[in-house]
Amino acid sequence: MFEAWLGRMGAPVALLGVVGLIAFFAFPYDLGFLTRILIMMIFVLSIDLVLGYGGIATLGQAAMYGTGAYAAGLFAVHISANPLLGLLIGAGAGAGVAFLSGLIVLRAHGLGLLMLTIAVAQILHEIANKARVVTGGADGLSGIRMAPLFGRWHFDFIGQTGYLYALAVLVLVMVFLRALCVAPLGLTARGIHESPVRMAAIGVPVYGRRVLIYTIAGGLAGLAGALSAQVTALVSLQVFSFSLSAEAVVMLILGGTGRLWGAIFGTAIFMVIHHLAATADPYNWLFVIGILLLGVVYFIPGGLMGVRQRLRILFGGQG
Amino acid sequence: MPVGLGVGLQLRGLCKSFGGLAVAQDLNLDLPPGARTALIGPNGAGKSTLAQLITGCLVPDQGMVMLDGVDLAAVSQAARVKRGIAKTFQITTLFAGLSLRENLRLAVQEQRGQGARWFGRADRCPEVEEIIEFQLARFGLLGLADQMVGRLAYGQQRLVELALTLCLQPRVLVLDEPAAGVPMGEIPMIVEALEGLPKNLAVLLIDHDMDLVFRLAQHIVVMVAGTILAQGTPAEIATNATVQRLYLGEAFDA
Amino acid sequence: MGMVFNIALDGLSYGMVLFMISVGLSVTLGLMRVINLAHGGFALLGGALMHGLTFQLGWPFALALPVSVLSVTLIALPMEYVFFRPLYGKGDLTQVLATIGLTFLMIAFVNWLYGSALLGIPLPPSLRGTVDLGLRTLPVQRVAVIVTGMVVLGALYGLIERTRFGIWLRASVDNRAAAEALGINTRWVFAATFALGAGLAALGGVLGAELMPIEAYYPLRYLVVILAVVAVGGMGSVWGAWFAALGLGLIDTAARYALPDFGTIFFFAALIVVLALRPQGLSGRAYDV
Repeated sequence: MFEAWLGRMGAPVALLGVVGLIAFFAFPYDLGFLTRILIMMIFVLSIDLVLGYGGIATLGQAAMYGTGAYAAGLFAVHISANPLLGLLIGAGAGAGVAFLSGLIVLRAHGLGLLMLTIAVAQILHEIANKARVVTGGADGLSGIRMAPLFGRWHFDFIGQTGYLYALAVLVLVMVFLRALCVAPLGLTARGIHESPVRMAAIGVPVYGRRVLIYTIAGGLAGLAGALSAQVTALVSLQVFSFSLSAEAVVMLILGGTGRLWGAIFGTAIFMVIHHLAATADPYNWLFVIGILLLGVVYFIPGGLMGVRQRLRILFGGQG
Repeated sequence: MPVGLGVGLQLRGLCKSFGGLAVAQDLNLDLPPGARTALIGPNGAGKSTLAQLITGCLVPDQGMVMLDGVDLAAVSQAARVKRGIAKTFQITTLFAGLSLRENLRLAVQEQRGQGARWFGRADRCPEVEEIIEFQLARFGLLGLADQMVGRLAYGQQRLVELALTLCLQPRVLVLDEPAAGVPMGEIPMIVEALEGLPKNLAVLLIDHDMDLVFRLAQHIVVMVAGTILAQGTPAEIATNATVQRLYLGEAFDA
Repeated sequence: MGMVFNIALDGLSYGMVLFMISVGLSVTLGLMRVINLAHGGFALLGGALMHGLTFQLGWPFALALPVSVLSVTLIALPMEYVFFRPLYGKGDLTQVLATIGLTFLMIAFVNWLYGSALLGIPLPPSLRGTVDLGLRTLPVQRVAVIVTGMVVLGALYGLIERTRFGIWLRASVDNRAAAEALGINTRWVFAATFALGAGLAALGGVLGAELMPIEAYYPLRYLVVILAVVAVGGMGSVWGAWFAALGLGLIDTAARYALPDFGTIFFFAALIVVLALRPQGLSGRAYDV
């Protein structure tokens, strides 16, 4: 009941904004870290769209994230320091790479698909590495200086502007995705996930729709990358790394796929544990996350959001 | 007026083989609007292959599939659905994790060309909902509309299968064993639904169940080893000595 | 001419190492449909054990090698029972998640044991020198790797084509249900195959340590390469894995020698071309997740 009411009011998204603001005042010295969480949430949401809704297994979403980061970074260095314009460029670049690579990648299934997504990211990684003149190679792309947001708010050292900027983008992405999920295309994505064969039989051009979903998600990943380039004023080769894609997928599965809130919670929990464990003892971080992952698989399949659902069934509600 | 408008589906000289095995040899068949044709034959006779050739799931080695006089060779499976050729599945491949209403909505929104829309709510389009309600009512499924399809009884799932396919507004409907696997008690429900199909729809029924075939079909085609052995009215087929010896006897023994 | 020869030699030995490490994953993937991202971990365990036995305890190479490989094979058996059995038939994401978790544990374990430094495996003098073929001299280590790879290929061929176990294995890969109906204990076949694959990975890890140095992050560092071999070769196929490993090994080595400016681009370009043309890999077995 209460939840249905919240859902109708679009309140959860507002709640996300409020929690974000509380965190802003509660942890004024951790804004850099918190900003990274917000950006990561956008990135993981983009994977949720591909993997959780579209059913496209990917370990190469970093290809779009990295492209967005480099596109926005280069745009800021060479053309315009306007942050919003830069975001658009980043999203466009991410969508472009997703569209072009999707045309090839999405012809495959299963392990082949997984490998193709990885390969695309690795090739872009190598190109960015070798095109030193343009990208700065292994030293990273530096010299990014953003103009004040709306001509008023400067990107400060403590990262206040950066944090609020990222929070605003995240809330907008969330609004967009919630709308997309209930739109016809969202239902189509779920249908493809459930039964691609049947979708073809009811006249759906499945391949084309997959490319479309992959492209939209690529745009969001590019947006996240652009945001990171602008806020940290640096783009390193890491943006294309396999571990970035893999960790983001882990965050998503941890939270529960096919649920937008799964992406949000999974990212928050993973990154906070990472932060705490790595601060305490960087070498044992892998122990912690390893056990966490196995625990999720063997004891709470469906991710953390699945637990909530199970509890609800347990207490007599509907699943 | 284009040539052949209103003549329905025509198959001309269809051939298909896998490796050395011919599963369709020079098949010819007409399905005009309103046809109630049944396709029978022993396992491996090529019935399913024929269905797949019609839907575009398979490409013939030779011959033509025509709808209203237009060759469909270059028309993909998805596009044939939009032109009005639909098929129900023998094994249920419904969207088990979606509600009944959502299942139908997928079909209707696609048929109306809205399936790729990013905006608006899928469940708030009055025209779409109207069609869904109509099909739900036709099959008496209104009460189950919000159930997850995976949780329905098998017979009910077969009705959903029919409703989903009719949501595509087909002109030619291929029914692949619509009652397969349905418990005895639920079969009358299916038969009733099949008898209530729209009158101008061309129906091709593929089945082993002779009761069902003789009850519904006005025309019966018997296939054996990729060829059409005999065709005619139910009465003619029932008295055809070759058919009896070659097929009906076996089927009833089994 | 000299460069072509070096490329061939290094590429072949690299390919053989990739083959030994990956073949077990390919076969178990074909058999159990489990995308085991932790497979490279067995190569790491083999290498780490070898490091411990030779470098720390001073065992001779020839004794430590079989002991390491056998130990990993035996360790793999209970691991299959505890970790992998519950994963059979689960969705691919679950499998990816669980096996990544397992990989992290393996890395953390070796890290805890030895830290994150390179784990050297001292070669015996007999493998350190060169062998003179008249025309040119070859490093013994490379030759030994290539010969071992061919022996492994031959042994696997014999095992799969000529033994009762091979019949069971092929039947289980083709159709598990039918194999079970024939009375084949597929669980046992799974476990034995899994352990054998782990042992081969350990062998490949130890012999390939010159090219792919052993360190804690090994399973993640080479994960992509190992998966690439399996994907290109097509799952469940020894021959496919062999062709893919050799092909990718040669392409990668040739690119490193001849066009170092392009790094690993050729490796991944080859991967994309093969998979774009043959999404199921070279051996072309259908696999739908």
